[in-house]
Amino acid sequence: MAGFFSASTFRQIGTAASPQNLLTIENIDGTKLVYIRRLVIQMDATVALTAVMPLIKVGRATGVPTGGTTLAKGLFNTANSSNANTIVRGSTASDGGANSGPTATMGDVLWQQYGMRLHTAVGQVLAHDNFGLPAIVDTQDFILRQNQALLVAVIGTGSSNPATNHWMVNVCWEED
Amino acid sequence: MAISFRGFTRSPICIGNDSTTQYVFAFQNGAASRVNVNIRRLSLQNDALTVAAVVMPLLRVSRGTSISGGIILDKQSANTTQTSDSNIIVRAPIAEMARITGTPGTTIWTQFIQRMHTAAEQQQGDDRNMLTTLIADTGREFKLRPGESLLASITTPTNAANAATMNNYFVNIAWEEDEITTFAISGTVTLAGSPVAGAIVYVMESDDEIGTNTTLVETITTDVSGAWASTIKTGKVGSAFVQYKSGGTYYTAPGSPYLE
Repeated sequence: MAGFFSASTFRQIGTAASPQNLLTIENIDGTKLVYIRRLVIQMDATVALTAVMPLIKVGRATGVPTGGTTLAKGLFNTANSSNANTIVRGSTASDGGANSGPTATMGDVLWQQYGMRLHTAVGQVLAHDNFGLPAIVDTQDFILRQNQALLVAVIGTGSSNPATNHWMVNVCWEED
Repeated sequence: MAISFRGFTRSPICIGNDSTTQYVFAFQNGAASRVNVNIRRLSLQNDALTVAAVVMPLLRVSRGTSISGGIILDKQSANTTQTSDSNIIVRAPIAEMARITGTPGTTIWTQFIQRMHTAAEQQQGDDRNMLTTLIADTGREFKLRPGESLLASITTPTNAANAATMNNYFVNIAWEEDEITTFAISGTVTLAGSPVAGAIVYVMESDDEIGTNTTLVETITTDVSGAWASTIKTGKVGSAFVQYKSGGTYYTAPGSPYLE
């Protein structure tokens, strides 16, 4: 393997759109593979919601994503460098900034996960790690081949995913 | 190479700094280090004593540069027969008195922390992961080579969301040190054919023969035999220079360059 890498989105505000695309990771390399090793979504909600909480869905995009904000890639070992053909996109270039994508359409859903909600806005609020893919991908390969992409999106409503929701996604991957 | 040290440490509790950005932790593997560091666990906890109805603080970890300030934390060992490389420095802030300064690099990991929406019921202090738990769960290595550092920062949307009366952070870290291959260099300082005690030998290391990225490895004070010994990382170029003062007389000697 050529290395292990990560990327994080900035804090993204709920748009009330459904779906709201939070992150994509794409591999456009003709020969190299990308192995997703960890996909973590966190949220904070600052107002109460008594309807069902927003749902996070993860699936392969139907095509190569476009738009959004290309995220910088962190290195787990500076002796390695990430392939320029591995591209990670978020929706904003600053915490709480204007959302601008990424543009992608989800194919079949691979995994889904509830976010969280405050039934009443009382007491402590915690932001647990929500896994966008099962932990089995830590060691069992989930592969992105050429022109394949993974999309993380929120499925909500105007009331369940308003601008008082705050989202953040981390992704770790391996390249060969 | 072999793991020479498995270490732990923890920061003291650090209060919020009434600002939207605060550096809460730094870990440095100094340029003269003889080990690569693998971070195995890095977590933060917070207790928020006052309420915040705005979004909770965001924790970011990156490879930082130009790090200074704070207090230097002690390093505890999983095995008391092991010793940490002295070039590994762990820093934490103490409120206004000792702030960390530095420049963050590309974000490696981000995490929401927690907040108290209203002052009611139980408050829990659970771990916030500052790096992915893959490094603990699967043995994947997050590596800091000599000259590399980690810097952790808190970001909040308003100063009030990181009030000194609100947030109480601390950090835990576990790491291991993996020895880098070296070769030995040594010599004897003499004056008029006799060994010199108390001479100071400066050992330096560079990437190449023209001195790229030269770092001071160590300074050695010779004993009664005049002998000194050190190590140079394999692939690097070493050099040594000596100076000695006796009474009012200063001595030096031709250096020993290109020790490869």
